[in-house]
Amino acid sequence: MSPLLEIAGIGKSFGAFRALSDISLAVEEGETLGLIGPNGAGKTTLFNVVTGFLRPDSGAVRFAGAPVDRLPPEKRAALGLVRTFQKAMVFPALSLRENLAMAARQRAGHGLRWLGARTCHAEADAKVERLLAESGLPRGGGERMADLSYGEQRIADLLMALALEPRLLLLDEPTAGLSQAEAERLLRIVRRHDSRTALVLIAHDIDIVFGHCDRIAVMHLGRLLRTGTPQAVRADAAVRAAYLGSLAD
Amino acid sequence: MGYAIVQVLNALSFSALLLLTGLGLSVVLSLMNFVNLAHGAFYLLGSYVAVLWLASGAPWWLAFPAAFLAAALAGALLERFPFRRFYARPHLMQVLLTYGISVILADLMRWGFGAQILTPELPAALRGVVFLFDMPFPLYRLFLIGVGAVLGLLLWLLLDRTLWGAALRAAVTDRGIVETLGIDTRRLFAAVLVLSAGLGGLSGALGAGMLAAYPGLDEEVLILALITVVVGGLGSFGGTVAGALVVGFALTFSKVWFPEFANVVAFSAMAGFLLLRPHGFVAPPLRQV
Amino acid sequence: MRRALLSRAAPMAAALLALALPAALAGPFHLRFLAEILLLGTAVMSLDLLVGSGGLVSLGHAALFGTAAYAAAVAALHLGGNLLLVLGAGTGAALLLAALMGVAIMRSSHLFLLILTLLLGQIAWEVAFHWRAVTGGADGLRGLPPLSLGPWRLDGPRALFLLAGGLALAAHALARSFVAAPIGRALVGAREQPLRMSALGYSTARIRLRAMLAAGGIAGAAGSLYPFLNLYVGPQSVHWSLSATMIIMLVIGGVGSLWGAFLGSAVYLALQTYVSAYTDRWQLFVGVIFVLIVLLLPHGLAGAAARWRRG
Repeated sequence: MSPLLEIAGIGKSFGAFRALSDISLAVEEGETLGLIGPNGAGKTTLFNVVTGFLRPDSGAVRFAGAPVDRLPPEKRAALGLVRTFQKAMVFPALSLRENLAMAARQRAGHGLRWLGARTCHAEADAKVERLLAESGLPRGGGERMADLSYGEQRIADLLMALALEPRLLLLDEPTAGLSQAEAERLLRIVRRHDSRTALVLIAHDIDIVFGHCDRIAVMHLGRLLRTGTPQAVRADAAVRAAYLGSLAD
Repeated sequence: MGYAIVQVLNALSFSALLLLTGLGLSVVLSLMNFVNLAHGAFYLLGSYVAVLWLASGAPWWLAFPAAFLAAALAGALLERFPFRRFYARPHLMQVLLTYGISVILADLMRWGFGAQILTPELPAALRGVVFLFDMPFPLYRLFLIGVGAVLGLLLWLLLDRTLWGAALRAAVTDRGIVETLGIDTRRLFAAVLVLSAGLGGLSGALGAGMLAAYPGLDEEVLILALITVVVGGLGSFGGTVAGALVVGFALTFSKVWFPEFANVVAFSAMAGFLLLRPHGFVAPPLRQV
Repeated sequence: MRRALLSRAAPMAAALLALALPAALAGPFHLRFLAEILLLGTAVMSLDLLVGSGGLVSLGHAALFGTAAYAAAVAALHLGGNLLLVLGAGTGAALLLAALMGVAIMRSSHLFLLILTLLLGQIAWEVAFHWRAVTGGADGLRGLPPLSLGPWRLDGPRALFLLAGGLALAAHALARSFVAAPIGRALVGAREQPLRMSALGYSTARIRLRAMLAAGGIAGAAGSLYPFLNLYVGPQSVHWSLSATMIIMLVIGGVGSLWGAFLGSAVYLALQTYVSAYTDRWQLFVGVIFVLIVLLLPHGLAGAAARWRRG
């Protein structure tokens, strides 16, 4: 069986700056891959290329066995290739419930409907209630997104991604800027969906990455240094030199 | 041959006018992120001042600084209230506010200067024609091309090569940091708006010899200047030059080749260009995510 | 439950009353005037779908309205003034142009969108102005046959007023359902956070196209009746200055409220009609009022009314 996501030879430059060179990587169905590397290693750029927000200069991306290079971001999302952004990206003026419903309606294929609004809304609302209950957010859902704390916004952001029922979820530093308790709640929500969804996780928090991931990929200056199990990566000399440095000693 | 050269010069003189008007607009847009739809009013004010000045018998060449000062003064007043409050507001609110101001200014000018078409009495030095390959060409248009090129160059030097320009560009990127360096960004922004308004008035004075002055010209010029800036890609200097050339040549040559449907052809060309390049000629290198 | 019913029935009853009273009491001049307010208001309300929900400020909306007016007038001149035919011809033409505009604005936003819609609108104006054989050029088209529906003639001011009122009510219901439906929410989402919408799998291009079609259809329906108020249509109904006027009306009335569009068109046309009787400076009045509203009432008269009602 072919891997769920297959990245082959991706290169991307911004002017003279080579953000990515020759990245090849595969993500298997259902696995959790940690993507680590110092700032500027190209992790977010790689996400942007995989999800179609950036066009690579070279290389190819295959998802679920089919090439997706020519698809715009929204088509890739519709295939189940879903991402979050480095900052919580929500609709601040809309309510929490409306934020989640936006995702739920799209997943149900009702995103652009005009007629039959009542049933679309009812279906979406039911799903939103489920998600809210599962999330354990102490919120009714009527609150304006802008009035929620940053941690709650990030969790809502994640819930929107999960409402799309992704096959592969790319999380870009989901716990950055969150308190310990908020980070743990967020990871609990992710793990509940873990069995169904493959996960690629960018994080700076080493404990989170090494504690939760099946495999880890290390990037440095636009290159992929090493991919392997947490133990193997921890033991790798090049990784220690480039990234873990004193942390590992 | 002569005919072609005359048409190219026609296009160039129109482009020079568009460049000067467009630069006033693009300076505030790129440096302050402020959309000023009252710019056409500054232009027309400059035209009227120049027409009156040239009719008054005072030294003719002072008409241009006078138009600059008149429009700059209007800009300075409007900058204090209400423009200043809108610098940080979304473009939509800026568009609405400045459009409303332009409606008021247009009617005030109609009140003050009347509704008829006023043409300036050009001084002898700028009247008449020169012969290029046996084709007559108005001297005034050559003057426009020259002045447009010189003023454009001066403005570029000011913004791109002086410390003042550097402070300004830094203030656009991060106002807070520039303020911690002890530079008063409020005064900086006020100066830019006054400069832009003055530039509008100056272009109006220069343009009066070609387009005359009448109610409604403010809107026509504003629209063409906006198209110039937008086609150029909003605000980069080189982009505005390119935009002025595209619009100037498109309008001139569509009149030569398709006299019946000149504007349809020119507008279609511009719209087509914006369809192919939705962010204009020189798109700012923005990273979306 | 009962209160909810009441709160929905009350505006409806008020609207019907607002239509019934003038129909019974007003004279021919005022009936025509009110009909013009209603038709222009309907077009402005359709613009509110784009501006209020989508943040898409179009300077080409008059092109949709005016193209519909011309198509309806031409159809009436050649085939007679049957109401359904006229409405169909006008709305159809506006939908076609709206589809073109919707495709054109797929990738543009902000000032680019403003200029692109302006250019497209002005192309339509140039065609209306120069295609003399069909549009009558600068003179426009006169001598249109009166509207009719089967055996009834709809050419009296009262009939025209009621027709405009019925259209306004239907269009308002349609616009409200659009805003409340998933597509309306998606339009708001694409305004607020276009990147997130793409990441959620929404195509902003398709959202915009649909919004443009909805707005174009409604503006077109209003535009198709417009020539029959004075049995005349001229190129100024396509010109961008009417688009700008529509934006002024929308802002005076209140962006995003839908019903404020009618308020705005009423205030503007009243100023134009009554203030111009006393002074040549009525545009100064309009400008000052417009600027004051932008400065003081960012949600327009409708927003102020809503705030006042809430106490």
